[in-house]
Amino acid sequence: MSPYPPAIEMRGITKTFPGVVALDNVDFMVEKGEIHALLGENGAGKTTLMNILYGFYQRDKGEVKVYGESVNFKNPREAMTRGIFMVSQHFSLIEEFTPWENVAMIYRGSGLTINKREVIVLLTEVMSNYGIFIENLEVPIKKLSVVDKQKLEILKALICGGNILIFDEPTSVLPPQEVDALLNTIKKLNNRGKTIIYVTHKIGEVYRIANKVTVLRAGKNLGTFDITEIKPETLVELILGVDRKFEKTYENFSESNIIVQSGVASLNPEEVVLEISNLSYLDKREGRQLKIDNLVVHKGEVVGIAGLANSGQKTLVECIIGVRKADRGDIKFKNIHINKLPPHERISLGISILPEDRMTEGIYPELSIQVNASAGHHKIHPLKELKNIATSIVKEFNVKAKSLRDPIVVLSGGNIQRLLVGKTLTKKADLYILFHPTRGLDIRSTSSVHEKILSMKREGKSFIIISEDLEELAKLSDRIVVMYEGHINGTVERTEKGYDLYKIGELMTGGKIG
Amino acid sequence: MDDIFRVTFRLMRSINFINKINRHLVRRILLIIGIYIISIITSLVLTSLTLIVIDMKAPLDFFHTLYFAVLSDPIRFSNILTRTIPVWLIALGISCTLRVGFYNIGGDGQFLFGAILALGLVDLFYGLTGGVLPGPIYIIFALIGGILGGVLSIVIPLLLKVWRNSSEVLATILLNNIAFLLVELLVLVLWRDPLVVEPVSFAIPEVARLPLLVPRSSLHFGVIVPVLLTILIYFIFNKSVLGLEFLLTGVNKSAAIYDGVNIKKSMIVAALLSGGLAGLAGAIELLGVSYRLFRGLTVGFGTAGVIVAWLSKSNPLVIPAFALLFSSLFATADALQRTLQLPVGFVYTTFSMMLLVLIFMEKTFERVR
Amino acid sequence: MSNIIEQFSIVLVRTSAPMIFAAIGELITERAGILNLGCDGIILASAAIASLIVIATGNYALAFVGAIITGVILGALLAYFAIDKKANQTITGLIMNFLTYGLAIILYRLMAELSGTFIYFKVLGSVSIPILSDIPYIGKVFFNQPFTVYMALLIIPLMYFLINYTRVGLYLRAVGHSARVSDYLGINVRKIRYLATLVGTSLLGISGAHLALVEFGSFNEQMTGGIGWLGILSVILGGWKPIGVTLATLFFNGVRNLAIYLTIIIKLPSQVILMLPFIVTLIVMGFASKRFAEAPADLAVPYIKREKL
Repeated sequence: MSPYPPAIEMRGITKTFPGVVALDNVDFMVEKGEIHALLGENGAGKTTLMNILYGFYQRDKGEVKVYGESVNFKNPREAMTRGIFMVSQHFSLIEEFTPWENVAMIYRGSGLTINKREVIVLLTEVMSNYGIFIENLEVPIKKLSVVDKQKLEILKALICGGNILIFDEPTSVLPPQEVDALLNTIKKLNNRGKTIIYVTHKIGEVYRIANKVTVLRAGKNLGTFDITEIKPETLVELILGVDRKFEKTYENFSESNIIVQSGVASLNPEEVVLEISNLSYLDKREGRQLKIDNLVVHKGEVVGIAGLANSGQKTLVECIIGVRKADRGDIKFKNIHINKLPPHERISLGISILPEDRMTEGIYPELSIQVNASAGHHKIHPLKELKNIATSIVKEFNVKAKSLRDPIVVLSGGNIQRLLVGKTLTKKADLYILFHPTRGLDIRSTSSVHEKILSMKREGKSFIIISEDLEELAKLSDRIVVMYEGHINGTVERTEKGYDLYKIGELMTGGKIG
Repeated sequence: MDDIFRVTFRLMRSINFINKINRHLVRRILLIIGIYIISIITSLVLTSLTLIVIDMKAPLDFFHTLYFAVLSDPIRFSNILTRTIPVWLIALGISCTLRVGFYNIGGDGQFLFGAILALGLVDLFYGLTGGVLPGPIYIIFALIGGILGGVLSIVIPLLLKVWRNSSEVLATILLNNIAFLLVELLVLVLWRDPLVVEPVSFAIPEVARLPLLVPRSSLHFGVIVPVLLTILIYFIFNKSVLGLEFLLTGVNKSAAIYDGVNIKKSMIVAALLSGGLAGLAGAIELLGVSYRLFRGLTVGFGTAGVIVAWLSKSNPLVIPAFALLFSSLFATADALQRTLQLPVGFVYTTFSMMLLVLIFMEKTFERVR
Repeated sequence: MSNIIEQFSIVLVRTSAPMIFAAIGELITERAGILNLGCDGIILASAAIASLIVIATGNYALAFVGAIITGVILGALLAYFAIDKKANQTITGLIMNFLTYGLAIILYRLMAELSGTFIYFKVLGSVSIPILSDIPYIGKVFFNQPFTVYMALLIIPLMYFLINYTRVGLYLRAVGHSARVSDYLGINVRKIRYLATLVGTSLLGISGAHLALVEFGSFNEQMTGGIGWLGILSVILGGWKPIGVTLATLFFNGVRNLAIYLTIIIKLPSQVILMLPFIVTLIVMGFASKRFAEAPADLAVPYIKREKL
């Protein structure tokens, strides 16, 4: 036991956003000098918890203590003055500034002027001191690689006297070669006395550097463990909420006969609807990478794509649609090469998409329910029929709305979801790409959406379904492709017993099969 | 001041309360109407207050003149209608681009280019044909020239926007400047009419002029054009695929892409329509009113068009109303100048104040989604 | 011949002063992320107030101060709508042009009443800097000018220093590039934007004061000659950097002044020459996803504080 008060002590932290309980009475404690991993899926609450510690969010309930002293940070600046720094380049670097200007933003130098030389000298000192080097200090950082930006974030913290460093999913934007370097750097910082909080969803990394690990799921703290005393399998179970006993799927499930049926009928191996080969995409600035050697979807097939958030699913779909131009690769839809076609032409060949982000990519906020439900259908149906189409979608998918002419924003989240699903599924297409189709829906709606998908599948329609709900994927898919860090980490086939969800979980968190 | 806000708030809230049981749409409409009415009243009150400073009974004179200058006399009303035509047409065009999410500030420039091309083409054609063809043929030719001029003028800002994502606001303003200079060049040098003292261009031939609709007024047959086009635009917006795609593109580009809309095409068509309509306005002004090209052909019709389109929320049926409001206000200003010796600028200021109050109210009562 | 060049240079430098103030003023505002399309109108209104005060009181100093205050007040109006009400800056700017135009006409009327039919007052003369003004050519051109010209010459390096070498300048640029990151790092975005707008428009006020008190000694609604709009264009052409903006301003002004001479030499009508700067700007914009990438990323985007990003 350490003689010092804990570096960080958070007790009873509760935080709700409209409609969502992000953190539910969470306790979190980090001792001085530890490397403490905070593990959990996206949406589990890790980032929210850290944002509260950092002063970016304000907690609803609970208490935060730093080195035994009660604190209430109103903004990150206050946390920084206490020595707490978060390394997460999204929010605290200005792309158009040079490294030294970014440091100058928070470094309290002498007086009103900023002394470039002073800052650069400081930077150079810290760089040699800790062995973390950025070559060019005088170009706008948007020209630098993600690796250098991350180093800059660390250097910023060190210059300003940071001794508690929070790393938020730092390897999610790094190419594999750089991961080792980063982990070594973190160990080095820890040897120099820095307390490290390492937020991640990757179990492998946790075992490589952490002393302790705390697991969060759905806003609750499932426990803090010494790394030497817990097995990876247990961690997987805790993160995903998957019971080891769940290796089979749903024999007690009423739709089991449908599953058996769909395994036999309508799968036509001759007819390939979508074929992707050698697809690669790299955006160094955003840290997005995609590398797909091969992905095939047949007619009447449902391909599920599993993976933790930001594993490349969205990038993949954007490349298929044409919103992003892949650097290399070939995409064939119904035997037509679509690489060079603009999005609207690819879509008109027979693709229907339910986008990832409902509110920013799915709906037309000021427009009426009717327009929202029938947008996209206007390509095929005459305008006169759009009203009827909207009415039938609303009816079939149980959207509770008083009048179709009301603006769509009056609907609740669940109703909007049902509306968008209805719109997407009723479009005439051959391939349907759906992002978490039943997110936010109750059980009844969820099963009716699933039924609809399965019945369309029997009619010969093909689906790509991207979801973080493994049970949903297990129920619907003919096979599940698992994405991790921008590539396909493995494909899991359906067996008579269903899916080995544990295997999928392993692949999702970076493991390999076999 | 605070009391006014408090009363307004309570008024708004009471309206909301009454409508809690009614449909959301009704509530919204009432809110919007309420905002407009309150803005108008506020600005009229402000105007009256300012007027009182100058002269005690000035406000009464103001309203009196407003009525007489505008509504009392069919001839006067016709004249006002004449002045409404350019703003009306330009606003119709701008409502297309506004709907799609493109800010066309180049109304004046496109107007002038339209007038220039109309004049040039008509003159050329007239010369080629020896003036023997019936008038309407020349008129149609000129109108087509006008549309073409406006379209050509908006092509460059459009390309810059689509290919380079440059600001169309700045590009269209640049073209405005170029247009003004071009007019100056033509009017002072190339096309100057040596028989006239002021710098104006030669006149279009008599047969090509639009005949008067209302005798002894300035209202010409050209007024039919905006009426027809309003109906056309209404149909495009509400009953055509093109109009629907404009709307979708302007409201949410990403969602529109996923719904299969060709957003580039939508933007291009909307911009060309906009340019064409502004150019047409220029041609009509030439053919119906001025018959010649000169520096003051447009007195801010372009900017007025933007404001009218924005006020009308791009609704083609509302645009004529606001365009008329604009011209009436300026006609009143002219009349006021004669009777009360009030400077014309007064109206500009009052109107701007009203617009600012409007924005203020809109933004204060906007609900954050 | 050399006399002509000398005369020309003197006029060039003098007429550049109001343009410099317009462009630099607009630069400061835009660097913070606020687009001020009412630039020209604010200059006009300031000139009007300056003229009015001189006619009414004869006090030039007061007129000068009045012009600056006018700039600040109008700037505050724009800032309020753009920052606190998060209104559309393009439309608001255009409305302000309308407003100031009307204001100018009203003030013109007032002036006419006060001073009779002719609005005319003595123009502020040049101030000769001892010793320096004796240098051949440079002395006459740069050191024998009205004091507003000296102000303009000084403000260029001053602003360059302020923007690039002070903490305030760093924050200004930061806010223009990303208000969200700046807010995250503890900068008061609202305060910086207000400050930038007010300082910027106060410079516009000086521009107006120069036009009225130094250049024309009179007032009419066409007085600005569009320098406000040229200021906005200079900012773009100059890539939002003080030196570049100054050069762009000189380019525009140079062409304007040269137009008459060029017509004789090149035998092109003056209007064509005057069009050149605009055409050049368009061409630059054409190659310019680079140029526009230099714009403050948050230009004309109202900042809405959101908790959940």
